[in-house]
Amino acid sequence: MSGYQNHTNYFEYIISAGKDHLKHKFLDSAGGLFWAVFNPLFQIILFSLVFSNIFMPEKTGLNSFDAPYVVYLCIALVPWLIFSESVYESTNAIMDNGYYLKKMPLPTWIFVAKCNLAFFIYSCIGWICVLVFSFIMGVQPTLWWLISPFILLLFQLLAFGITLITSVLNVFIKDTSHGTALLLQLIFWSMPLVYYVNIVPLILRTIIDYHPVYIYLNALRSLIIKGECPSPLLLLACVVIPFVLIWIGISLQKHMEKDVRDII
Amino acid sequence: MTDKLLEIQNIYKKFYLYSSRLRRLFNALGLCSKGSKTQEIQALKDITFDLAKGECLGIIGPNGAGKSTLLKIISGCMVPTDGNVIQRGRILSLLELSAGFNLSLTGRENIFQSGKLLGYSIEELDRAIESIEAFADIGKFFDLPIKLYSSGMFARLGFSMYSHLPCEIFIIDETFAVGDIFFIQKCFLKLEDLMKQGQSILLVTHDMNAISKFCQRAMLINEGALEYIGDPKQAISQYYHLERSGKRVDDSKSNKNDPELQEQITQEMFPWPETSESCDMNSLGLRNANYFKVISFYCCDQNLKSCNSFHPGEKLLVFYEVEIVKFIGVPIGSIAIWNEKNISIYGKSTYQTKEANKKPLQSGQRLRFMHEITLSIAEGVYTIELGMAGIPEETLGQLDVMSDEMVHSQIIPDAVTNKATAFSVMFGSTRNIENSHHGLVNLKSSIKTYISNKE
Repeated sequence: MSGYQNHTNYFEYIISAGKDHLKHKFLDSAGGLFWAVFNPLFQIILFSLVFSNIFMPEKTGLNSFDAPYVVYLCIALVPWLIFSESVYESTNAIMDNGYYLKKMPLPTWIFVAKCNLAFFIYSCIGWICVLVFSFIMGVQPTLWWLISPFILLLFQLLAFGITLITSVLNVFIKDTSHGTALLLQLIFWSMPLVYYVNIVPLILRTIIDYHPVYIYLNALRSLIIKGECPSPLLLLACVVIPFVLIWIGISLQKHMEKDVRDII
Repeated sequence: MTDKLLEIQNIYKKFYLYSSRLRRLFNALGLCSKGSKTQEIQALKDITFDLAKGECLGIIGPNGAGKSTLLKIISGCMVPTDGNVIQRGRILSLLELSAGFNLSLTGRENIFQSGKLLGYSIEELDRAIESIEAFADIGKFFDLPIKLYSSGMFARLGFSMYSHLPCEIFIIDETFAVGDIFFIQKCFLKLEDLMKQGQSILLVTHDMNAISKFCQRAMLINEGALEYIGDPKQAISQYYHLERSGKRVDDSKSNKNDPELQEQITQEMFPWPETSESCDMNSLGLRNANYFKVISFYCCDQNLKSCNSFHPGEKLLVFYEVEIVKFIGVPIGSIAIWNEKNISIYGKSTYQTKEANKKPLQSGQRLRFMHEITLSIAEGVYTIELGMAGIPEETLGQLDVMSDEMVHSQIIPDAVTNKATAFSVMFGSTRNIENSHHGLVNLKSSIKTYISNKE
């Protein structure tokens, strides 16, 4: 068949297009980076006000992490917000790049990869802010902090794996992106991100410990606040789950390429 | 080592329609039975051809014939249902105007973005960018987001980029339709240049002049099937026949005229095409014909061969035969030629010539017409309008003393068709053509000169 390009060129494209994606997402708007920072900041302020002042969880002894609530919140919420936005946008990646796919012999997965890369860069910037904020709030840095970017990378690979699947489904069923948004809300509230895990009934806590999305966020909290490494089993899960999903996603994209191109 | 850069082997393409998208998804996942497809559209049927190094192959056909689908399959943007595409070299496809550009990026950014996607290195793109910018000639717009571009600018940027990147096979689909005349000329010069450099070109266009000028071979696709491949002039002729009749061309069938009619033709002294294909009388569509029935209609060259492609100055012969259904006096046949912009550039009726029949005919009688026209007209595509009418015999005898209005008031119009057939006038590769005038038509004129030396 015709595809003449090699994967090296695709990776070059993914890297440069990922940077361009971020640039156009934030720098081209009138508010510039303001909006990039404001959106998660606003949510952090909102959740902090509601949960730390109204429910005052520190006083109830529910906090198993020895850190202010706002730090506890930020460490999980910032990566989650970027993750969820990444999943939502990447689900539309194939449809959004139809103008390329209609006219160039390109594999569909590169557009999903480009979108995820852009969000990984965004996530790294956000994470630096979180670390600086945690330090200011009195959390002592440890060597485990250096491991956190790898967890962040695995978290983004999880998003990549998920969106390789959802982006193809979205070509066939337009409602996929709406369904994804709804599912992200459900996943958000199913994890102790804004509330403490101790308020969850005991029977559910074990399930939460193995929540396929929460394991990454919990790992980040353990690394930063407790200065502890998550259990090897959880770390293994953090590595295996994204790669299994990526394998399924790429296989699905290849299997359905003919139909995807016909529809686009 | 073969010099065929591209081999297309038995390409088939089917599109399926499903009752729902969910069903389509299940089918793509292999979870549905074959019977779940509600409708099947055969877009391409057994297409086989090849492209040699340095060759320009034109692809023509009516809208929806499958040309763009074929190009998408060759480019790798679509997967064939069956068949193989063997390529020996890099293919660049300029499929439609926007050529895979991102509207939010500038022209320059798009060149790099698309260039990288097409497999070119930054160094290659850096080398080409200046010549791309110069060729596109869109000034400051080159560094502005392309959402601000006009369609002409899109065409300029797309063609400029694709024609300046190194490749072995260049595919162009309908990119000359927009853009001003200067740009189109520039594009064709560039194409000539690329061909000289040994690049092979696949050109899809409705511009028959371009096919005639640039292609060594042309292929006609209709309803997904390859109807003809070979001489561009023949392909164009078959295309016009197809367009007019709305049917597939089958030489073996279309050359079989009615034997009885053939017998009559050879018996007459009146020149008449012997083997040409007559137009489909049903599709000729003489509207409201009460007095006439058209038996045959031919568009020929001076050798009485069916022809739809002429050079300026050549003779076009229109033959048609009608049967009188009801008495209408002296039958009048008229031919008019219209250009692409629907402007009538010529029209003449039999009552305006001395040689034509001046006698009234009874019902059941047949009359043959031969209309000879010297095509001293500009290059372009034209349609022929056939009109039939009647005029009282007495009126014909008094034409010299009657005003135009009076003559027109005496004519009994019967039927007219504005799409009897189409033909094109184009400069040939030999350049052995009439160079008698500039402009749309060669008006009857004379030029005199006088050397007025100062005494």
